[in-house]
Amino acid sequence: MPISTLDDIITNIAAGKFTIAMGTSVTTSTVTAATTNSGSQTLVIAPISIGSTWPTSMASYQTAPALSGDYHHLSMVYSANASTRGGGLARFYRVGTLNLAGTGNQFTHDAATFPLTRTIFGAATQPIALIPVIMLTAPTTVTAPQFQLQTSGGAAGYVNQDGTSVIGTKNFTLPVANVGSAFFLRMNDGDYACRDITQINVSVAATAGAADVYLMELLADGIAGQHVGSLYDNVVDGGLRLCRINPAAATSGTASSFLALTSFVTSGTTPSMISLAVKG
Amino acid sequence: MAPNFASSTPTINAGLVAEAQNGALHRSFGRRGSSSTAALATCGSVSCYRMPGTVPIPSPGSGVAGFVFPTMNTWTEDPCIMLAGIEYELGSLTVSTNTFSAGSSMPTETIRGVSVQTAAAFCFAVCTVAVTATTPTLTITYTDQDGNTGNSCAPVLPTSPLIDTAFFLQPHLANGDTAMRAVTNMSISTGSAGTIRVFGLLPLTISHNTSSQMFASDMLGFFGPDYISTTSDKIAVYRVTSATASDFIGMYTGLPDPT
Repeated sequence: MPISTLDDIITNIAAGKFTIAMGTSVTTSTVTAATTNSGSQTLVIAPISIGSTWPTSMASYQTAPALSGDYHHLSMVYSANASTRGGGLARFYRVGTLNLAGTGNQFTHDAATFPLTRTIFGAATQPIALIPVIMLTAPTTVTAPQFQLQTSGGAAGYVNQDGTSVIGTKNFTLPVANVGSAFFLRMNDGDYACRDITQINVSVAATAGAADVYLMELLADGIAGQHVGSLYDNVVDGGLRLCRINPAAATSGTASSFLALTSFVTSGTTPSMISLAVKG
Repeated sequence: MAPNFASSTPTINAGLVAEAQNGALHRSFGRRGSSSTAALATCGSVSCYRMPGTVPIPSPGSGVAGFVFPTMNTWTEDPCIMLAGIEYELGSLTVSTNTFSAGSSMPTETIRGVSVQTAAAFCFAVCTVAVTATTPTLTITYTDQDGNTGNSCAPVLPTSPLIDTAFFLQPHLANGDTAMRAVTNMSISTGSAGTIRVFGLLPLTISHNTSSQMFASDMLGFFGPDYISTTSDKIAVYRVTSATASDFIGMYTGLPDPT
């Protein structure tokens, strides 16, 4: 039955109408820390260990296959299996790739058309805005590259949370970083999320370097304990809307995505988790 | 009408009265776990192990229908996630003869006053006798969470998995399925020895442990159905996210559910 009460959630769980994501992530290496000009928050993206080659081949934590309908994320137990750190569970949708070894328009959008959409409070096909992130797939060398979310001709480079095309004016200075380092992209003052990225102008190129560009959908975050699994309860901590663990749909085509654990410190980790989401 | 935890409005007074009259069930148990064979992306993507032996539910006193287990304290030697649940054997396969034997179906339970046909989202294929086979494909035909028959899953197992290695089946169910109500057939593509059983769990507790630390499990929290465990039930414990040998101690308190 569609859920509208706590009893409905409990009944659906008893009926086996829920999906489980569980496993252990890859052991990540130490990454390069962020600075105030590169997103101000260090980020490690840790996909499931089995099937992944971090950071170039990111397998997703598996759920029940081809979920039909919405599955609402309820709770998660997450352990860093390393020093205690902030982190969580997120789905990463790849928007495209960025070449950091050349100047000018260096972003290539994937074939899928954005924005991503979900049913929000009963309204179908609503655009969603997520958190833009890059992760290095090839390390930058010699020179710290700089870029802005705009075209080389000064036109808009991203679509913000309201659907407005924006000329990104913040200069992002990427530190010379090792592969797997991830950073939150800088948007203009007043913007807090992104529906799409359309172009990135690299004004200062590195000698080498490349990155994947993602939109991050946060499902659960908190503190991952060293010695104990931290419990994240989405009903209490998720606000008015339970996050969905099933992927959002692209406007056209299929946006590739994967579920991964995140942490917010530079040191490597081998986190593990179990997560439950009930059929809506 | 006698108060009952399974009613839609269970009362605290009913629970206290039941406990005063019949006593809470306290049980501790330990298991020495062995190494298991690591999973692959083709068989669950998470290494699992079924702790040998199950914990039977004792016969309750008169006036008590069974026990509800709201939580469990667990300790393990090595970091892992521990899953405890009421276990049902849905079917088994003798590898040498490729012969299937039917088991039971998932039961009907009264949850918050509503009769619910349960289904096992936590469903595992367990090598209860070590298997001799080279990357075999295990095909399981089952009845899904909606009662549809004839769906199948076909995980590909690693070569000759160790005894009590468990493979998580949910990721390999048919598209759109999340659970099994029953297993109607099993077969294997190759193999000369071993026994594989499919178990379904009604989850009671899920906890994460690391070495030398005890964790009071409450992951299911207020989402967890109050299954009433009766004399014929058995509690099984699974180690997930780790193939490393690890000892386990569990302590649970069962609250009596009055008839």
